This record gives sequence, C-alpha cells and structure tokens, in this order.
Amino acid sequence: MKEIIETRKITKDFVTKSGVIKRSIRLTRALDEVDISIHEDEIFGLIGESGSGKTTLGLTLLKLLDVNSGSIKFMDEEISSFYGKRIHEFREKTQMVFQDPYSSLNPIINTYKSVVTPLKVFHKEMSKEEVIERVLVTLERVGLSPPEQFLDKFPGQLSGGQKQRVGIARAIINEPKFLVADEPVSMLDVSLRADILNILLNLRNELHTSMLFISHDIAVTQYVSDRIAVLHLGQIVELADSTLLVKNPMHPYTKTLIESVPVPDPKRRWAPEGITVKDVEYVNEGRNECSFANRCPFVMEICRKARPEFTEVERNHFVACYLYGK
Amino acid sequence: MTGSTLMEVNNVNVIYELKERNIKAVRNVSLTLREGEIIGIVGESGSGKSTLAMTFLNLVMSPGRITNGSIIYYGNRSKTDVLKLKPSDLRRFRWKEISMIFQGAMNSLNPVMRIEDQIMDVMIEHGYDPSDSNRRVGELLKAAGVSEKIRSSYQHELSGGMKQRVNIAMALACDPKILIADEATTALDVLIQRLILLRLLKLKEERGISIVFITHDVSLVANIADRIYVMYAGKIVEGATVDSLFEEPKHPYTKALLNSIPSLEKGKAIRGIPGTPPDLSNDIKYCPFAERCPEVFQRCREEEPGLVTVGKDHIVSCHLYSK
Repeated sequence: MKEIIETRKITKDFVTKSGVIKRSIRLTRALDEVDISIHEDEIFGLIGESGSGKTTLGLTLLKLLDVNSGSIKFMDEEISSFYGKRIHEFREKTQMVFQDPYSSLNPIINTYKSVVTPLKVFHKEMSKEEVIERVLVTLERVGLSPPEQFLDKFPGQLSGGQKQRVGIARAIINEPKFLVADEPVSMLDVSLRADILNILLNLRNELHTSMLFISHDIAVTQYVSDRIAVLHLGQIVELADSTLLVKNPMHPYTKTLIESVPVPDPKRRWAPEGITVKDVEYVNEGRNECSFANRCPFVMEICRKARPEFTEVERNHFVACYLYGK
Repeated sequence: MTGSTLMEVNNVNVIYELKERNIKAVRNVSLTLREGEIIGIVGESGSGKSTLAMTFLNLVMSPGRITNGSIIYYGNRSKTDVLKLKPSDLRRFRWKEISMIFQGAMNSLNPVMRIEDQIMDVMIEHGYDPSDSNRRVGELLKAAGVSEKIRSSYQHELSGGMKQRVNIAMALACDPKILIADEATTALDVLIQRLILLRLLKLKEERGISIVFITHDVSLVANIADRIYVMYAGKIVEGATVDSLFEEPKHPYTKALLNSIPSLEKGKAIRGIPGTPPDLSNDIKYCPFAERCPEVFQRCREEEPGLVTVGKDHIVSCHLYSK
C-alpha cells in the first residue's frame, strides 16, 4: 500500500518564556520522536487525553507548525523543503476540519462564501457556472440538502451540526488527498455525531481522501478508523488495527482509556476500583524512561531506566511497554 | 437504597421574554428526587435541561422568567417552596441545602483568589467559624479527590480536571443535601470524566447526598443514575428507572437517542436523528417530536400527548401509549 504521509522521529518543543527581570526559558516537549505512516485511502485514528500532543501532531503534518527535528514526507516529498509555490500546491491537497464549529466560522460570512473561497483561491480558471455547481455538489455531499437553501445562511442561522458540515464542506471542496479532522464531533450533541462520522466515512469511499482522525473518544475513533495510534505525552505508545486495539489493548494506558469509556448499558457500569491513573505530570525535555512510568500501576524498575522500544507484539500490533518485551 | 421524597418539582414553566417573541424553554415539567438518589436529566442542546436546573435554585435570570409551578424541598423537616423564598432566605438556602456545579465550571473559579480562600468564603458566608472552615478546606478537597497541597494555588495553576474537582469541593462546603451537576464533565477527557463520576458515586454512598446529573450523553447516566428523565423541546418525554429505560425505551425519541451512540462493539451502524427540534417561540399544540418521528401518525399532529404511566416507575408522553 502506498503511504500518503510518513513521519520519521519528529520532535516538537514549545518554548515558554517567563520572568520580567530574570528571563527564564522553559521547553515543553509536545512531540517526542513520533513515527507514523498513513496509507492511501486510510482513516488513521489518533487518541490520547488533553495535553498529549494530538493537535500538535495534526498541525505539523499540515505544515501549519514546523517541527524541531525529524522528517515528514507527503507523497514521498519532504514537506520541510516546500516553499512559495510548492506550499500553495501542498495546501490544495491537504486540509483541516477544526474542533469547534462555533468559533471556526466567521459570523459575518455566509455559507456560500465560506465554502467557495478555497475553490477560488486554487481554481481561478473555473467559470461561474462550474463554481456554483461544485459548491452545490459539495454541500449535498456533507448532507446540507437542498443545498440552495443554505447558500445565503450565516453561521448564526445554522445549528451546531450544520455549522460543522459547512466546516467540512470548505475543507473538501478541492477534493484533498489528506484531511486532518481534529476532534470534529466533540463539541456536538451525541445525537448529531453519528451523521458527521458517516459523512467522513463516505468521503473516504467517494473521494478517496486519507484522514488523520483526532479524538479523545475511543468509541468514536473506532467507528471511523482503520488503524488507531495512542499518544501519551508526545509519544506513540501503541498502534494497531482498530478492532484489534479495542479487543486486545496491551499498553496499561490504552487499557485505562478503554475502560474509561462509558458503556450505554446500566448492567455494565464501571467498577468503582479498577485501573486508576494519577494526574499527568509534564516534563520539560526528552526523558530516558517510559513516559507512563510515573502513572503506571504496573511500573517496574526497568521502566525508569530506559525508554521501551516500539515492538510488534502480534501481527499489526505495536506497543512500547516492557510488560511485552522479549 | 433510596428513601422518601426530597424535592418535588410541579408543573414548572420558564419563558425567555425577548423583544419580538417569547421562548418557552421549559414547559410543564414535574419530577421528583428522593433521598440518596441520583437522577439523570438527558436531552439535546436547546432542550431546556440547563434552564430547568437553574429553577431548582431559583437562579433563572432576566430575560428568563419562571411563570408558574412550584419546587417543594422537604430537606429541613418542613416544606419549603424554593420559588417563594425571600431573597435573604434564598441566599442562606443556596449552597446549604442545594448546591450546584455549573456548566463550564472550568471558568467559574475566581482567577485572583487562592482556592482555599474561595472555598472558605462560601462557608463563612453561611455562618461557619473561620478557623473551623480553614480546617475543613483540606477535608473537602480530599473528599473531592484532589490533593490538599493545591489549597493555596490559583486556578490557572490547575488542570481542567483539578478545577472541576475544586468546584465539587466547594459545592460540598456546607454539607448540602442535593447536588446539581450541569454538564459537569463535558469539557474533560474520558479518564478524568470517569474519575469525577466515580467520585460523585462515592459521595452518594458515603454522605447519602442526592444528585441531579444533567448531560447530553446517555452513556454517562447509564453509568451513574438510578432514574432518568429524557427532555425534548422543553418537556419531559420519558422518565424511568435506568434499567427499564435502557431495556425497554418507549418513546421514539429515546429509542433514536440510544441508537445514535457509537459503542465499542464493532459492526453496529449508528444513525443520527434527522431534522431539528421545533421552534419553541411558537405555541406547540401537537407532539414536538412529530416532525422527526419514524412512527408518526395523524393524531400526533393534532394534539399534544400527556404523560402516561406504562410500567412501574415508567412514564412516557407519546400517543403510541395513550389511549
């Protein structure tokens, strides 16, 4: 299978400056040697709690944020080498759907203008009829139908679910090869989520768009994704086919995440005890121990001595944990 | 187990009086809360669930107005109608008898006050001895599941989950009998969410506190509630014990809601609910779910169904069940 995007050991530090008289600089490591590859036609799920670096990873893949070290290849081309016109071309093929549809749409721009702008930027040659046709088809595709009714609506006249559909429409109007969907349903009511997820699945089937689907909700992620990676404090700790990951989670962190998903069945409530983890502790630079060691209920001596290797424990199932080391 | 009735909400109506129209956000809602019980109120955004929560403390602000109804509280050995309390009595009543964890509690702490001072503030205002309340702060934080060490922190030094637990600590400060949690975990991720919900359950067990848990997420109430009320378009459309609601949902809206949740069991296709709720500024003289209902028939568009009892502790407002 061909890779659409591939990263090699990417690392990103954020700099926090503080102090007025005595300047002090602190580094926070948001991504720590992350390797992922997303195939053509694949929806790749990325889960982790808030602060784990999920959004940072999404932004770096789109070159909206530059990495400190490591390489990112988009269709076999190094994106850090892009400049000028090449960036422009790259932007046409990659897009993003944002988390909060209530704040990511401009309140004084109507649906038509919101959706048509990316098309006009990249396709100046299109005739007016073609442009309108394309907008209507796109709106139909995201379930805003009949599309004519929505063209002159402003965000304030749309419901939350409809706003997010506009957000998706403007991201896909140029039929991108790769889409980052950053928590696209977390701000929506549960009853509206299903439709948005089904739209994303259809996009992959019809337009062959590959996606990075970012979420903290493993149930939602599993519904749309082919493979899922688990991010903890900037490191990928587990990666597997999505059914495999849910059926047989290995890393203690993944287990906790899965156990924490509320099941809509009163007969299967959470056990009051069970694995509980401590609050997260952030560290400032790369560390030479397992990132989960301080929170892990199964921590061993070796966990604090060196970082566990990312190994394939069963077919298509990778985990970075000494519990499964050979 | 659950005891006698602690709070009784009777026919409460709330309207928002805007310039050009009135929005009837809560329409004829009645419900009961028993001692030591957790009830869940579930509904989409705009269903009126937060407005309803505000009425329990008589906190509805202009342009909102509670037009009629009563909220009877039985906690202090006599009947108190919360909606008829004098402002000074209301002040003493809030926090002491019923307290609330607000939606967006992440932003409800004072950024220029230390955590301990904020919590003590509540207690001193309600007649606790200052040195006594200082000592209690530590216990409260522990009961809410955070380390006592954070007592002298400011809110920006804490993570979202910790802030939320500070809010719980504050809500417990005056030993209330009822705790109202309005979307208390919505902005948090699943790990912290579970931690906080288990904490609430523990508080119920240890202190016998009753909790009203308001959320849009049906799977959360499945995990903690004893009984559930489903709200739609300002009305309660179904109410039942948690087991009976999930086993035998009656109202088509409840069924659709349960069908829209992605679960970890693969292969189950999920469906959203088509359409949107009706505009509440109009007088709705028919079933508010009629436009979106897969089982709609003529009568649904002609008259509004009332609540009927369909089983033990199970009520529903739907013409399919009314004779």
